[in-house]
Amino acid sequence: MDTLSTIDELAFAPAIPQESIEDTTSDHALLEATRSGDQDAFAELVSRYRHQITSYIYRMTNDYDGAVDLAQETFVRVYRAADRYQRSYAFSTYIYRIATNLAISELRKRKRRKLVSLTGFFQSNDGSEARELNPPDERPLQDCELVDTERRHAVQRAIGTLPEKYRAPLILRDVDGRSYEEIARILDTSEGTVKSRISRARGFLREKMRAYL
Amino acid sequence: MKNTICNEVRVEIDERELSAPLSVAASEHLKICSECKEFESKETKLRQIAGSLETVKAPADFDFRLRARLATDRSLASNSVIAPLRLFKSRSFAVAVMLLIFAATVLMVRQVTKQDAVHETNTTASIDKTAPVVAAPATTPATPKEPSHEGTTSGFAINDTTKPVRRPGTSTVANRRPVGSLEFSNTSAPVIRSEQSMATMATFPLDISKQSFTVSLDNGHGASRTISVPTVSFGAGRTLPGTAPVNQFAPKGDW
Repeated sequence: MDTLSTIDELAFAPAIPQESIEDTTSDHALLEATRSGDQDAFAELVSRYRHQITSYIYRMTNDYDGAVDLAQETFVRVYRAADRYQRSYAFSTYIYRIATNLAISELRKRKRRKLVSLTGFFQSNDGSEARELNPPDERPLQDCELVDTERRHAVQRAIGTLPEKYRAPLILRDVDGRSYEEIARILDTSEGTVKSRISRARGFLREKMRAYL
Repeated sequence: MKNTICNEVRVEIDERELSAPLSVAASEHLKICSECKEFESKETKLRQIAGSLETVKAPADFDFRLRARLATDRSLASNSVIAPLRLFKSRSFAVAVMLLIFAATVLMVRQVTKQDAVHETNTTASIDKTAPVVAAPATTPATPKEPSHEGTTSGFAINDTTKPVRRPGTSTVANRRPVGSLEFSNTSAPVIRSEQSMATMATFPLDISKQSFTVSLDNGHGASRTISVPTVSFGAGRTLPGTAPVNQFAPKGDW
C-alpha cells in the first residue's frame, strides 16, 4: 500500500527529485525508524523533502528567508509529532498539509501586520473578496531568455497576489503538479472545491498576465 | 446551447493534464469556436509558465540549522518544568504517586493530632504543678494556663491551640481569633494580672546570657497572650584584665 501511494505520488508529481524515485525505502518506513530514534532516517526524510517544502512555502509567501524558517518549522513539527503520525495518507500529503498551514498562518499574520505592498487593493468582480493590485509590467523584455525569466517573475508575482485560498491549490497543481485528489487531501477539502478554486485562480492569473500570454 | 458546450469544453481544458489530449468533441468544438480556442491557448501558456517555475533550493546549511533547532528544542523540553509530568504517561506511576501523596497526608494529619494531644497534656500538668493564679477574675470560666519560667528547652511549640472560651457579650478580636506565637520553652511564662501591682514585679532576676524574656499577659477575659523576646546580643564584649565592667553599678542578673 505504501509503495502504491508512493508510485501515485511520483506519477502526479514531476517535481519530486530523482533520488527519491531510486530510493527503495518508503517515507512511512523512514518515519517509523525516526519514531524509534533513528536520526539517519529523519535526515533522509529531510533530504527528500527540504527543497520541495522550501520551494512550496516560498511560492506561497514570496519570501525566501521566511520560507526557509517555515520549512524548518515544518520538519520540527514532523519530528515532534512522529509518535502521533498515522499512516492513513501518504507522508507527502501530511508534510504538505503542515507546510500549507504554516504558510497560510504566516500570510494571515502579515495581513494583520498590514505588511502588503503600497499598490492598494481592488475589489474582485463578484465583490466577494478584496485582492491586492499588482499591475503587470506592460513592457516585456526583448531578449528571449530574459523574456522567459521575466515571465516567470511575473507569474510568481501574480501568484503572490492571489488570495490564500486560491494560491495554495494553484501552486500545488500548476507548479508542483499534484493531483486534484492529493490537493484535496492536503487542503482538507473536497475535490470539487479544489477544481473550482484552481479554475478561479487561473482566471485571476490570466487577467494579470495578459501581456505575457 | 453554444454557451453550454463552451462551458463544458472549458471545464475539460481546465481539468485535463497538460500533456493529455482533449476529447474528440472538445477538439471539434475548438475548430469552430474562436473564443474557446483563445481560452485554450492562453490557459496552456499560463500553465506552461507556472510549470516552468523551478524548485527553489533550500540553503546548504539547512540540515545543520535544523539539527541545531531540534537540539535546542530537546534541551528546552528536558529543562522545562513540565518535563517531569511526562512520567505521568505511565498510568501506574501516576497511581503510585497519588497513593504516596495520600499516605503522606494521612501520616501528617495523625502526627499533628498526636502533637496537639501531647501539648494539651503538658499544659494541664504544668497548671497542677505551679503556683496558684494570682487574683484570677471571678468571671473567667477557664483556668488560665500557669506558666513556668523554668526548664527552657530548644524545642518550638505553636501556641495557637489554646483557644479562649467564648462568653456572651465579649466578642473581642482576641476571642474571635487565636493568637499564634512561638515559645522557647514547653512551659508557659509567669502570668502578670492587671490587678497585681507592677511595682512588685519591677525587678526580677534573669540570666541574661542564657534565657529569653517571656511574659504572658491575660486580658481578664480568659484570653492570654505570650510575648517572648529572645536573648539580645549587643555584639562581642571584651573585658580587659584589671579594668572594671562598664555597667559596674548594676547588680549582675538584674533587669
